[in-house]
Amino acid sequence: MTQTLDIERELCGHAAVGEAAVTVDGDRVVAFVVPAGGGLSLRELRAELGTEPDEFVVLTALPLAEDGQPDWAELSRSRKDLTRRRMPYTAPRTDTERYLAALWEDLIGVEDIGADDDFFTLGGHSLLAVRIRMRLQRDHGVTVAPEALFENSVLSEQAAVVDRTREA
Amino acid sequence: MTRTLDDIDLTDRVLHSTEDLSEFWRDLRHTKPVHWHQPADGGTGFWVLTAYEHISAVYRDTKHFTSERGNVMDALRAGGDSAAKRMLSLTDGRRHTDVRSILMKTFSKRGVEQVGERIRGITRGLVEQALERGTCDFAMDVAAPIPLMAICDLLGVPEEDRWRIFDLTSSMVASETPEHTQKDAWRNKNEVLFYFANMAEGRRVEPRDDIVSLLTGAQISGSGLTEDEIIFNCYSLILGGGETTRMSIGGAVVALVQHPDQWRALKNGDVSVDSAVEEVLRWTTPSMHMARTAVADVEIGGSSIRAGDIVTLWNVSANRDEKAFELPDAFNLARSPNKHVTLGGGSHFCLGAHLARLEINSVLTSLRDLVSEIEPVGEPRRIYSNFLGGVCHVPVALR
Ligand code: HEM
Repeated sequence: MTQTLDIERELCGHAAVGEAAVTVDGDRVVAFVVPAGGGLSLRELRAELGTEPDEFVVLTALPLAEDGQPDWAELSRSRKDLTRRRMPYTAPRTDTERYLAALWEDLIGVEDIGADDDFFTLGGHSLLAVRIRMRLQRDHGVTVAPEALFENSVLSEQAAVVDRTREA
Repeated sequence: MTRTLDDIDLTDRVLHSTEDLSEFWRDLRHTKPVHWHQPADGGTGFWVLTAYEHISAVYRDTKHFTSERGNVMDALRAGGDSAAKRMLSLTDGRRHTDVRSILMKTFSKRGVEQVGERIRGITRGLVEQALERGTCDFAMDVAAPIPLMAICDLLGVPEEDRWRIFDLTSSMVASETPEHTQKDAWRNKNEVLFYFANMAEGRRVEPRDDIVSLLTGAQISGSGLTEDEIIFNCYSLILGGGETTRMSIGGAVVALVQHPDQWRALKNGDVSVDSAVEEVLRWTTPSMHMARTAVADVEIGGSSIRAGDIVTLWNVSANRDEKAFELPDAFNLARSPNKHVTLGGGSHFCLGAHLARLEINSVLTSLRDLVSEIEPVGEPRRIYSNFLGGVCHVPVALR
């Protein structure tokens, strides 16, 4: 238990984290975090933590129970919901797929994005799609049409669109 | 045909533009002013408030209601707005006050007067052009460019990009055809957000005298606004500033054509333009509804609203409530008092109220000073939406 408290304390003190609640489920330490407002890269967060949880769940708000403590039942539901929306993990295969997987992980706040994961199913929305377009423009010099991202929401499809646009 | 509670679906975007619902609203106000509505699609149900008294109370009740999950029916029923807490209208409490006071510099009465001369000049020019041509589509030729030019001047959007932005935004909340694809809406919203994301990046490096620079440079207790807040607020200003006012201006001309006595009263100077602006706002009510989510159980008009429930506030009904307005179905430019809810109320009261009034005022003033007769030369066309109501085409002859 002191381990979860330590992680929680460290998370709450981190500039990029607004709120955090940490718990143990079976043999896994799960950290629920609400970003402070700007971007929150779980990769960077891991690199800066003394003790890391096994799993992160990023939320827009921390649900509270009547007594003002975190609502653990609701948190567990959010976590299950997220797991349900994931596809079985297929490692990204090309450079573009690996680039996009890392980008999605940072933007959506979900770890271990695979080639079969779906942008919308994982909670991707317009502004995140805008971020993807901005980064592709900056890092790869390609301007992808928004409808192409809408129609190709699976990571491997999206990577194919980026490759095709770059070649065109 | 009078519609009844059972066969109407308020989420239907075609319904509001093809049917006159005034009987239906009156019925609801009298029989069930706080009504639970279960739409035909089987999705999330919601409360429908139609009485002026209840609606203006909910606008002011920040203890029981929040805007932070969304403020229109569709977004709330879809599970919440993706811009929640990152756009002024979808932020409550301290953060709302802080962000609002940054923007208030530009949108105060004095702030908007800075573009007053320019807007009045543009309006005069557009009405003169319409007079020269003889006939025009008042909604497209006059009503559309005025708010577009005004908000783009303020935001710092260059002339050459403005009509592209107009095309993208005008099809976003409403459409001119009953068929409206989700993909088109998503694509257009994305393009507009992308546009402002790029613009904000530019202004960070090279600030100018415009709202985008104001937002990129703003500080709240030592830290800047987040990238999301900047982009979503620009988006909300271009949408909120353009579409609604366009509906009011187009609707004003339709109303003046239908009420020749009121046109004469305006023309002869029997009513002040200021008072006419308020009646135009009440009569046209472009934001047909707004919505909130209850955060605590509360009773309204004998009905128990539970925490978590979606509550929709039908401004179109409140503005015709016989308990709040004398002869509410009369278009009366001299109406006083005229405390309509067209611009909302309470802490989220329309930020662009002074600008909207200035724009409508410039149109009524130019019509009064330059035009002697307005004649319809075709049927006005309404837009399709369950949120924004009004006309997108108004063919008239001006003399
Ligand atoms: C006839 C024209 C207009 C109408 C009918 C209208 C209507 C409204 C309404 C009903 C609200 C309240 C929303 C709520 O309670 O959730 C509102 C808020 C707002 N309006 Fe307007 N509006 C108009 C023009 C404008 C213009 C010209 C601008 C800006 C350039 C603008 C920007 C805003 C903003 C930013 C808010 C949010 C304010 C806050 O949450 O503090 N509006 N408007």
